[in-house]
Amino acid sequence: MHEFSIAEALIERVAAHVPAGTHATTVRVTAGPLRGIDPDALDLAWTSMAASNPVANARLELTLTPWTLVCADCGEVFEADSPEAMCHCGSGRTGIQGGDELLLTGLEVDDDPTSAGATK
Amino acid sequence: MKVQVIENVLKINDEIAALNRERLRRAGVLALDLIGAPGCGKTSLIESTLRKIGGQHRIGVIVGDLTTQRDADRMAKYSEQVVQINTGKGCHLEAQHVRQALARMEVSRLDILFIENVGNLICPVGFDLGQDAKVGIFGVCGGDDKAAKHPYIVTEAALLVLNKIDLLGICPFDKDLFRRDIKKLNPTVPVVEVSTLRDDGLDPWCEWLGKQRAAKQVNEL
Repeated sequence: MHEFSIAEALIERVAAHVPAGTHATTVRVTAGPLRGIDPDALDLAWTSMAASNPVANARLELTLTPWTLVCADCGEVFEADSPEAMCHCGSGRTGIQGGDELLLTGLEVDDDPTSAGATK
Repeated sequence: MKVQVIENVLKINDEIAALNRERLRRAGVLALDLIGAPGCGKTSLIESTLRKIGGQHRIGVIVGDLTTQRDADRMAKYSEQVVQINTGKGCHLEAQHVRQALARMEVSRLDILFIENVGNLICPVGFDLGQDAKVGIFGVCGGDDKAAKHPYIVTEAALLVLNKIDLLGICPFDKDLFRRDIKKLNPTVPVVEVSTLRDDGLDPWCEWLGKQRAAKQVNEL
């Protein structure tokens, strides 16, 4: 359940970027497949933290990027659902490219204090 | 209103890890993050290593577990510098844990630091601790498919250890398949086979440690 640690780190990062007098309504995160993030687990972690930290009232939008593989035979770089996927050329000699990103990619904030938490 | 931001979520962890790395670099300590599933033999590998080369190198250990002091008690027989971290519910060590542990150690009197992560092949890989390298440990008893199922440790590790080779022939384990899976994910990573139960096969592992330690010393000069 590294999702709890990630949710905590995310709250801390979001808080650092939310302008004074506003609150976050949407938080966008992108994670690569090597990170092994379970969307439901991250959602649970995020939701459970809302009680102690209002930042987590914001809607969390997680984008999981697909595996990016590079073929050792034909050189094609392609996206796949599995790191064991075959290349279109028929080769099984593929390697993983990237995939370990874990990024806060966007924030939306609202400066109306009466709507705090209303998005959840 | 949109706020433009693209940032590493684990920024703070990585900044603390950089402080740890600098502290260890200044002291000339080779720091290795040992990652493997529960029961693969991380602690027994460290014990065997301490017995074998503890006289040549000053080796310290930071060991992470959810609870209990048992691993630290085991290793304290062989090293004066062993710190147990209990993570409570945490399934991995973070840089702050290591920073706190280093504060309890005499880092300047170490050559090698093993950081035994919480038993887990998934979460620990993504958290930088300030180590020089990650070492992935698999046990024969865990099955031959664990490398393929946990690609992150295979792609990140500087060395992989297959432990409990005394169980080959007892537990079903296709070593060729295990090695093929690793080669596909990380064609250059060395794999050493050991039995910590029998203190067997430890020479290549200790030689690798010695080389890493020597390279570290040269870098620090």
